[in-house]
Amino acid sequence: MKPLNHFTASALAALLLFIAAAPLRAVEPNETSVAPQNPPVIPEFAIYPPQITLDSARDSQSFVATMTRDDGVTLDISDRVEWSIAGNAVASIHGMTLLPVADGTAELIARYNGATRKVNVTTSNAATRFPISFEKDVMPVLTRSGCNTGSCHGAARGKDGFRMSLFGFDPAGDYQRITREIGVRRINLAIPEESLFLKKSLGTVPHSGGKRFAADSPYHDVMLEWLRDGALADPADKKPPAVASVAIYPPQAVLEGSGAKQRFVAVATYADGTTRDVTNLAAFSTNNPTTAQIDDRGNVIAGSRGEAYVMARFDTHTVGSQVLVLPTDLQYTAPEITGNYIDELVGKKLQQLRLEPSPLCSDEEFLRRATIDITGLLPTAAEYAVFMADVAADKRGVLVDQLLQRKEFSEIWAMKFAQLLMIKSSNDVSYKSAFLYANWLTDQFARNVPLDEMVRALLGSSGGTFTNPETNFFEMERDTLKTAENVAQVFMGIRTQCAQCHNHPFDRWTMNDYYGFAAFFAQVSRKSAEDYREKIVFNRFSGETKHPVTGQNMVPKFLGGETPDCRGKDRREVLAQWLTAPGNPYFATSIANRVWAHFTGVGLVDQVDDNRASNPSSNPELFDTLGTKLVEYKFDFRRLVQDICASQAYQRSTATNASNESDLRNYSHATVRRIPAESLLDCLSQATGAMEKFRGLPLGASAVQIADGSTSTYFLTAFGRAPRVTVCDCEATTDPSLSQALHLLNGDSVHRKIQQGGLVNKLVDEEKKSSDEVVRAIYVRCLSRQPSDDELTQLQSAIAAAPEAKQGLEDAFWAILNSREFVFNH
Amino acid sequence: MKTKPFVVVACCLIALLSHQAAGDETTPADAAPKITFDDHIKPIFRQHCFSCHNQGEAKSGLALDSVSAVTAGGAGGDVVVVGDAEGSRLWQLVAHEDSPAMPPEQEKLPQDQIDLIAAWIRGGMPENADSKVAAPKANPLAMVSVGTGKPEGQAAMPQSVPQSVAVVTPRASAITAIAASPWAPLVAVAGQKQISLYHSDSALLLGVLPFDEGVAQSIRFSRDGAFIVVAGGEHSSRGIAAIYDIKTGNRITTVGDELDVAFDADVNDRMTQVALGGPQRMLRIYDTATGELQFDIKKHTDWIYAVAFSPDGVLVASGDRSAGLCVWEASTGRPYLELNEHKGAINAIAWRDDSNVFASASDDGTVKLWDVVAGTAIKTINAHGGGVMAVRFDHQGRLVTCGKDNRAKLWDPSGNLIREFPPLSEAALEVAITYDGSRIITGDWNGQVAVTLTESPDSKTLIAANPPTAKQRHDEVAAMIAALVPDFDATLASVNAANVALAEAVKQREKLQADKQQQLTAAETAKQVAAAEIDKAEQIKNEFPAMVLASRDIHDRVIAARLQPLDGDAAQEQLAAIESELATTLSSLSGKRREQLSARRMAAAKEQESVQALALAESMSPTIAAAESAEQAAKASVDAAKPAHNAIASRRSELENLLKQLAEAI
Repeated sequence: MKPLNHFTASALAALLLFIAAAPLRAVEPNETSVAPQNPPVIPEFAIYPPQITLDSARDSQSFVATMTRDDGVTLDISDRVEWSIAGNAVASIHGMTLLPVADGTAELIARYNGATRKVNVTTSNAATRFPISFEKDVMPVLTRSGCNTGSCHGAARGKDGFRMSLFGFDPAGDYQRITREIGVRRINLAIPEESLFLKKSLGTVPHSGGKRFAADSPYHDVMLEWLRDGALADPADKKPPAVASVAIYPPQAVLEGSGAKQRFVAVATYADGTTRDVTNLAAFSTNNPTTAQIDDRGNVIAGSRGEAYVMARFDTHTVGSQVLVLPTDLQYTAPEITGNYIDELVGKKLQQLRLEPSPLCSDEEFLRRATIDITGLLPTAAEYAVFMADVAADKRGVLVDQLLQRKEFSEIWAMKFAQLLMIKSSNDVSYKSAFLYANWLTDQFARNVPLDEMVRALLGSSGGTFTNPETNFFEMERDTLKTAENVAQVFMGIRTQCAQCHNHPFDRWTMNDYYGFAAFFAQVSRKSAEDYREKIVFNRFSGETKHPVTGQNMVPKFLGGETPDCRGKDRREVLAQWLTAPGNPYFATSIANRVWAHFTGVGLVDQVDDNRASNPSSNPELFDTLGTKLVEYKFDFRRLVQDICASQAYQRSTATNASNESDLRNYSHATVRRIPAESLLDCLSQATGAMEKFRGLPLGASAVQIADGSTSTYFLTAFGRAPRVTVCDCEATTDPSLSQALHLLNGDSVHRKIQQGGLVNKLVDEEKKSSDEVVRAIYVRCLSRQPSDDELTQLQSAIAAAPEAKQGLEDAFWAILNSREFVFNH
Repeated sequence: MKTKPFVVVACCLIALLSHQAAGDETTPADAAPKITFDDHIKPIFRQHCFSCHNQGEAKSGLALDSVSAVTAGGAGGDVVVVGDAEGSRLWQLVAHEDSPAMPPEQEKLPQDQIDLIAAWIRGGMPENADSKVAAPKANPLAMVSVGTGKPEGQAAMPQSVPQSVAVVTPRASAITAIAASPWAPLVAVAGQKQISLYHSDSALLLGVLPFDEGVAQSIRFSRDGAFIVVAGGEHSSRGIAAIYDIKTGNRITTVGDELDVAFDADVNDRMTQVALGGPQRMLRIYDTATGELQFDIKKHTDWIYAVAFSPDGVLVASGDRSAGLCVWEASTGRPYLELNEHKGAINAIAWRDDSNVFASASDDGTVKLWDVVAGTAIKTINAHGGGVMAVRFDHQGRLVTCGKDNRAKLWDPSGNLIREFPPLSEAALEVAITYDGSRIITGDWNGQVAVTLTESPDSKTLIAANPPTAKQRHDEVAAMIAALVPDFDATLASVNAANVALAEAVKQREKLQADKQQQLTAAETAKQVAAAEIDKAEQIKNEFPAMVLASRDIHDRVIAARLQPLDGDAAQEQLAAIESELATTLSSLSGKRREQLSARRMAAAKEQESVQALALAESMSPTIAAAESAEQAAKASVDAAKPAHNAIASRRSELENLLKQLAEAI
């Protein structure tokens, strides 16, 4: 029996070994199939957070280990790693959490498949349980539990009689409201457990918000302990340190297949250097739930293929981590990256996402695309002929250079900025002011004044609105706060509006930031000039902005920057200097992104004026690089346009392949874009040869040149011309609508213009062209290409069926102008 | 056109007023120089106010560029009360005592200008140096004397109220309710699931009323002080109102079934209705006898914080968290007044004894006094910055208030500050004033309840809203009794000693008096004897003539008989008989004579004796007087010793009674 026993035992052992090894294989089935030539000998893995400090007996820190496969896919291997503490026994491991034991330093050791990783652990005050702080401990629980969201007690009027500040922007006020507003209701210091505040959270009394946490949760413990200690406020001279930064780990995850998981850990660092595990206090969210879902404990579950950012919000900080989800068994060969620096960065991202770019577009497509994008007009037949006949290798670049020299280019950008600056006559702003202001702007672009110089001139402007038209900047919007908001949105791509009333819920901006920034415009003053239509804008060197919660005057503070010394200076000039300084992280990138979005249809940060932590750039490196380049080019953005138009990313075909058809933001193919309203009208006029007349402009002037935002036509309004009511880039829309379609079909624009322009008559009667030639000419005029044989045949038969040849040709012209191909830039 | 009659009436009134004014014009000639509109006020207004408040623009309907325009007021009514600067809205707004502060968005006017405006209003608002000054209006704050509701006989005090403490906590929570009996030294303080009754003078806990529904949010005494009505319950869960008998501590009735706590309730004068309000925003009036809901009034748009019957039971006032303040007819539930002048939550309502005026305390920092007959605010008191949490009247119409500035304040019936009490440790949430106005009781957010003498604000006796257990209190009371014993004994001993001394003095005095009396009696007796002897002598003396006559007659008969022949023995015998008769008669006469003499002598002796005794008695008087004053002194020391002892004795018996009750409660 004995040998048999022995045999059985070893067989069982072998079996156990096999079973133990099985999950490893199951989770890593592709290691060999993906990269058979290079199997991982020593696994590449990392543990997070990179440094652990435990600062009190209450402190703890969860940790996570992530392995990166050769193909870039990451795996959460936390529960397969062998964890231990080396050195002094200052901390103990409980599951995936480290708890302090004694003061000192040690190392958290992770061993996996023969590889070892270490993280320094520092503990202090291990035996000290600091009293619960309202601001540091209780407020995060309230925020985490969703008590102070906009749909609950964070609403402006509160909920069911109880109001808190939205996402806790006003801890002192919240403390007051919880403890003192109705001193007899919300808390009960005699029997803390009887506090309504707690009973509502636990759902033991009726609560519209239901149960927020359980009686055995750490959240309840914090609240109860605070109440037992007397519900004290943090002493004014011993306020807890502010949160300096928040980090989320791992910084990136590449998940393979739907259902793959990765646990994230969030760590906050306070101003005094202490850290805190906020995984159970942060609010987690994702910007793309179909790709990655995240639960309230930081666990991400992969969904469909794509890219997502999972974000942790704690205090006023929002941080994100990129999560890529790839299909399992993906066969992907990274294409070679060619082209300029833009293509390098776009290509890297495409490789990361395993996307294959579309090929480059044809010369015809490029000619039409670049001409419309740069000049807002169609290429003429002559330009078409020249370009198509050109055999030079760099003819595309040459074309771009030529187009950039045209005045239409400056006009388009003058118009775009006129939209952003809301140039528009109104009851308060005379037509003359608006007109002069628009002309000033056009002149700036025409003379290729660097953008930084222009912005400095705008922001620091003083004088009469007629004599110094740039002062109209302060007339289009006179409200100090709105002016500051507009500057942030237009020149920094940041929307600060939220922070007027509460800390920005999805970004770093606090009310302090908002009012500190607004203070730069607090001293702008206006008076009437001799001409009643003219105003004089000047800096009166007095006037302050008050913080609405504290009621204190705000010291001017750059958004996300320091507090400059403004004494004796025009604050606006101080701001303009900072804003346009080469090192400013917002200005150049924001402008570059606007330019980029104009040429590619979608900004790296989209919307272009909504750059925030929770709306990250689709390609941060490219975003930064474009900004750097703009600075390098001394804000001559024509050169940036040259780069963009020279890139393969711009020159790609709009046709998609299997891998990139769902990609909308990574420039793996070109985007089909509706031509903006003004340019469309100009193109229509150009194609038909029928001129338009707008107020204040000579007959034949383009719609792009319209100076005054209040001047419009039905066509422009229907096609989404910016009403110039706000500075939002989204005001100018290219969304399709029924009225657009009906207007093109039945309205007077197309038909009238065909008649008025008399193009067909001219071609047939004067140039004696055959109908075949006429159709070809129309195709080149409108679509910058030759008709296909098929199109030609069909059109000819239709023209032949017409009672009169010219009428048939006009109908064909009408049909082409009504085609989608005409209306879109592709 | 509709305004025309008013214009006429107004003109008449003005005419009347000015006529009257001419009569009782006062010329403060001797006082400071007259502040006039033209000389002093107009320049101020011109500088700060005219740009908005001129007769062309007249923002809010108010123009300030003439005295008549100022008097006319604005869209919101009068802006000045002639003679009362603090009561004038104009002054309140420029002095930043009320909002909106004027001039808007600007610095406050310099204090000297504000003072000038105040002086001008007080001085009757003359236009120029020649203007007549109108007589000030009658003070609407004058209290009308009416029945007070004082019970006949002794006001109710707890006699057999339960002593066991349902919930014992190491500290008290924020104080939710305090009430003082209108007629007895009794204070009720709300705690956790109980209401503690304290003697307001001794601060002794007299009993604990159980309130199982949760925490009482309001306590109000019935008009005669015999009952309390308690509103409260559990937040977000249940609210009720209950009535307790003060003497027995029995709960008489419970009404209401709110889904959230009840914040306030009151019972009317006849104890037939209970009105109740809370976060459900419904003012509910119940029939006390049946518990039926009589009126369910939907009007308040926010939590009802305060509900109070007028003392005569005719009206009910209710206030809510959104500054809504209404007065209702109690018998019909119909609205009577809607008083929307506060700018913050109404935290408390209190009626004055005469039912003509009530006070509302608000988060806007003011207490407003409302004339319910006129339906207007007659006074706005800027009582406590941050919000007024409670207000109560005493029987003299004085007000006591407390608020988030941590203070309690006492105001005279016209709303002028009498005194400010020292700040509490936290926001003062509740305040009450005792029946005699001698003490105020405050409760704060920290749960501290203090009894303070109105006249010496620095005195402070703490009473606990979280009373200790009956056992602990039993031990405490026993200890108090034990502590009393030495004093008790000492005072008793001194009373006894005084009594002994008094008895001795009395005895001494009585003996002296008896001695004197004895002498007096002896003198009297002697005097009487003397008189009797004199009478006797007189009597005897009166007998002499007859006896002398008789003896002469006999003598004559002897002579005659002698002259007669003595023939015979018979004659002899006869003579001898006559002679012996004479002898007898004479000897009797002599005997009488002697008897008379002896009587006279006796009388003289007795008289002498009487005089001597009288003299002796007289000589004793000073001694007696001394004894008497000694006795008075002894008596006084007894009287002096007794009250001290009685006080201790009665306290001891009270305590012993309480101890007995506590022993039973354990």
